[in-house]
Amino acid sequence: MNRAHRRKLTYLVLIAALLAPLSMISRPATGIVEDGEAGGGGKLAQLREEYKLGQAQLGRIDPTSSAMRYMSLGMYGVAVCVLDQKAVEYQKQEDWISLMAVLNQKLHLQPYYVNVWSNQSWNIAYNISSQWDDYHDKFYWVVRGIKVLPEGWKFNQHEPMFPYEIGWVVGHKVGQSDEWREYRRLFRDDGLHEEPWAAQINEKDNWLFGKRYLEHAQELVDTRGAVLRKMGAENFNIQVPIAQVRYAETIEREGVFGEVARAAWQLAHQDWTTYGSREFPSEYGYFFKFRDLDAEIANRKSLEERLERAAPGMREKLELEKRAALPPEVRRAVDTPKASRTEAEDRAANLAAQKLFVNDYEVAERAPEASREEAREIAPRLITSRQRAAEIKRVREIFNYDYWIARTEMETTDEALEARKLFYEGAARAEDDPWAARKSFEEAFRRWRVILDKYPMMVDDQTAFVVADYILAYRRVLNQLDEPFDLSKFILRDLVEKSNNQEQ
Amino acid sequence: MDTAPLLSWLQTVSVTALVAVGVSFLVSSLRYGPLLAGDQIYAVLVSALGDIFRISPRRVWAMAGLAIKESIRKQIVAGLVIFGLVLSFALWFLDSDSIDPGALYVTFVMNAVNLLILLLAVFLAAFSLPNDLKTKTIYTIVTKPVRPSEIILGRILGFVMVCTVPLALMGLGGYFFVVRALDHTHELSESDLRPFDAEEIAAGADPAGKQGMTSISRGHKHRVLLDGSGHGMTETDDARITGDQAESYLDRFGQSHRHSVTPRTRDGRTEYVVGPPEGQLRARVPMNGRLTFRDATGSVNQGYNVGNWTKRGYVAGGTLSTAIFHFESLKQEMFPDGLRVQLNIRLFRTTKEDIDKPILGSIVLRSPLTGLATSPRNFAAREFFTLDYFLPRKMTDASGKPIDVFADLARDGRLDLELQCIPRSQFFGVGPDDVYLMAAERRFDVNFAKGFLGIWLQMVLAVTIGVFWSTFLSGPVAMLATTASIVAAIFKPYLLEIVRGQLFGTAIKSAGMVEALIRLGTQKATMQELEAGTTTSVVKGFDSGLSWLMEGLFRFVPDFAAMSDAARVAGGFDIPAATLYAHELQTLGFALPVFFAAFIIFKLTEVAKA
Repeated sequence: MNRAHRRKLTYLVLIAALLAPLSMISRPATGIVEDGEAGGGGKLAQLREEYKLGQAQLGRIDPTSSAMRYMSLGMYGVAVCVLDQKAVEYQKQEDWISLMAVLNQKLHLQPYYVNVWSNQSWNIAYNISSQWDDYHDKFYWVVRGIKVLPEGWKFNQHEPMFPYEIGWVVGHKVGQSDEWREYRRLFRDDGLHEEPWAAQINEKDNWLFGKRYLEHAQELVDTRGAVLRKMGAENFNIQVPIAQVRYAETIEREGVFGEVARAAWQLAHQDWTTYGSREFPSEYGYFFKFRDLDAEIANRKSLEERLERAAPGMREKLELEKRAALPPEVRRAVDTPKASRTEAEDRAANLAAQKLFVNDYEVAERAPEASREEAREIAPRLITSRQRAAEIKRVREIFNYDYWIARTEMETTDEALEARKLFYEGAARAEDDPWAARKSFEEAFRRWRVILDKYPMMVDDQTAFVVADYILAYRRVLNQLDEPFDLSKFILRDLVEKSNNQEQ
Repeated sequence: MDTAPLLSWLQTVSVTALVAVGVSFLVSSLRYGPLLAGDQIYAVLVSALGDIFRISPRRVWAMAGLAIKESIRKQIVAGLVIFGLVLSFALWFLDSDSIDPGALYVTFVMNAVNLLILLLAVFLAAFSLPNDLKTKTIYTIVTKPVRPSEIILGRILGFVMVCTVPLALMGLGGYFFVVRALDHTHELSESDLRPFDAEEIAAGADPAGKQGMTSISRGHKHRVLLDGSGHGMTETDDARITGDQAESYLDRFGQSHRHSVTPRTRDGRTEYVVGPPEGQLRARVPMNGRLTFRDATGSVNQGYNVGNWTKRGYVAGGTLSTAIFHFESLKQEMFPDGLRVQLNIRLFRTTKEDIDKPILGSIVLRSPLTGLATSPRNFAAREFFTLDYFLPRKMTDASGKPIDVFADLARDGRLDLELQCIPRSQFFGVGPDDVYLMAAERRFDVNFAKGFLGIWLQMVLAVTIGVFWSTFLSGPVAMLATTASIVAAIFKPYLLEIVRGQLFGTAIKSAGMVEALIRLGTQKATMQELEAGTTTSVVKGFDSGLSWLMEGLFRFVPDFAAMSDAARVAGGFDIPAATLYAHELQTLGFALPVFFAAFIIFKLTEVAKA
């Protein structure tokens, strides 16, 4: 009796001992939280506060979702697995009503997982919509898919991926599907702008609607301290100027030209310039801007000159020394032109190239006594500058920045606007009035010649493909008129040859 | 008549009875020797039979009354409160923008009630007898001249009656929940309306009438057609058949129901009142035909396969390829005005074509007796949508000669409906249930009640099973055993798939228990063969033995999924009387032997002997 009593007492003490640290860790924050500061509470509460993971910080606390999670008694992970399996089954069986019911439950069981929302939104807008035959029906599912996102956003108000995804899907799914003409019409007529959450946007064009959301996503990151977790900043921010470009392209495809189109392209150019002025984190730990490339190259050049002045002729001298140090057979390999080297020679030459490289520190160290200190100060700055210039150039190439700046500027010119209009008219008349179509096309090509001479970059990029399509249409028109197409005399011969090469 | 299930039932019952007698004999012989054991079992059986034949309804009723009195206060109230809670918060969980909210709500209500009432039955039935044994109230009863059979039967009847009351209340509540949740209206004002233009009037529109769009509500809106007086209906799917495209995608999903529109004058201005939704809850009686296909050259095939998951045959457009539905025993009285056909057609496009135009199909009615056929009638196909198509009795043949469907075509009650797809390189997909004649339209509320009969029968079985386990197991254990039986009953088809190794279909055999354990441990996927050898043979032999045993055990488990008609009621189809009989037969077939077994066991326990 006594022993049992003692044992029970020991258990109680042990339980209490275990509870003490637990309660220390998980004590909830009670007092009013001063902004920014982790206010009170146990360690968990503080961490939650620090990483903005608490439900109150994440967004709305939804009774439905909380009820569902509490009712599953902590087994909601299992429930989600079961629901997921069911969803796959329903989707296979094309039972859309049950599928939507299950998806709805699945989303509310794990409302703070961003990917669950975005994946489901995509699943509905892309996979389910394509199962339906009529484009009205397809569009209904596209809209249902998009509407998942604002719902999820309510739960995760600081998550920039929600407005970003809304912007992306509204832009691309509506504006770039096979049915884009019909979708854009339906979007204008009774699209999302009538939804309460979209009312303040009040925009009926899908590209501009999407752009507003992309801008909102930017704003969340730029000024409200939201964290970009899923993608690089360059990729994230590029969608705003892209959306404006697509808008301008699309209205021209729909037959809107003149000052409206020019204004659209001007804004696009402005958006690209703004993009170029954004700071992006470098992989080497500093920040850079796309537009800094020229300044950085100039900086590099001036540093190179200063180093040269501090250590005159030293770089060449070092090179010669390094060459002399090479074994004769390697030197022979280096001197042989790359094309006529044997495999072994080539390997040796490549290895030697590393040895022959003269870095700026070496130059500085060999500078004359008097200017050595200065050279030592310049060398690291020059190395950094080289690195920066190379990186900016590389990233600009990845995102095709130079092209877009030139393109958006080009599209605002009178020649471009007129050529676009003439292309449009030519394509529209090709069937009914081939003579008029031919005239329009030829006029357009003449103007395009002017553009190509001014913006040579346009000869081999996206724009060239579109023009190549018009050239094909023009050749069909000539065919209809029983006239030959002579490439050697064709005014855009360079473009045709280039695009032929690219196709091959 | 299919006698296989009956034979299987007889086999199960008799084999079980023999095994039970055999086992009792063995056990008794060990204790008392074979002679005495034989005597004893004989005595028990004889007295049991006597017991059964001397059951007194009055005493059974008394026992039932006792069961009712005991349980009425306890779990019933809790069950009803839970159901009330579920219903009042249900709309939070349900997709209010669903394309068919009616189906969604009905499914939800029926499944929720089903689950709750089974839980309630399990609780009541499993705990009562052991409680009686514990509180010794059983002794006060059995010392009086009440037979064990009467105790068991009384319990079952009592609990069934007790559970019927909340079931009926839940059914009523559920019905009103569905009706109320579906109720909605739209706004329509003068500014939403415009008169018909010349083209529309030429096409047959009322020159004095108007048309327009209602406001958006529940994720859809309706196109409205009004006559000169301002009365009218919102348009339904009938418009689809003319090939008209709905103007807006939101309009298309408003077509599962319609609203009436009536004008009202207030302060000299006309307002329009849009009525409640109609036609959302239905109980259609379909008449199905046998489906065959002909391929592009006109010879019989299975329908083309376009590589979908669904088991549908496809018809190639612009060829002789046809889907033929053979109807039999067609009676003129069933279709006095003509045939109402409903079609659910899948589309498969090999080219995009003009996406603003629907894909057209044609319907021909042909007499299998004479080959006489009507001229083809066209319709616009729409995927995942039930087309309602009316074929009048008087039609013409290809040459324009009048034809009467019943006098000329279906003279012997047989009629073929031929379905073709018109544009080349497009396909129509149909399965046997996708095209049917609308034989009648019944009341939804009655059908809903029929659906609840299926739930009631499941509940009867659950009570019987619960009482059975509680005759010899203590409360919590009986409760566990009952729950396990009910879970097995609910998931019987799935569990049988596991037992039979058909998880991945019939082509690949999924692993048995031990094999699966080995595969888990050695990380071997299903497609990989285990190395041949003694171990594998032993394992496989053991697994097939286990599978055989489990399959045998599952004969004692009723199939609740087959007794649930929620999908049918939600889909808007009437539950045929034959289905209900089948449910009742299944219930009886299980409940009777289980009752008998419970009674024998109860009789054998010492309490009953005392």
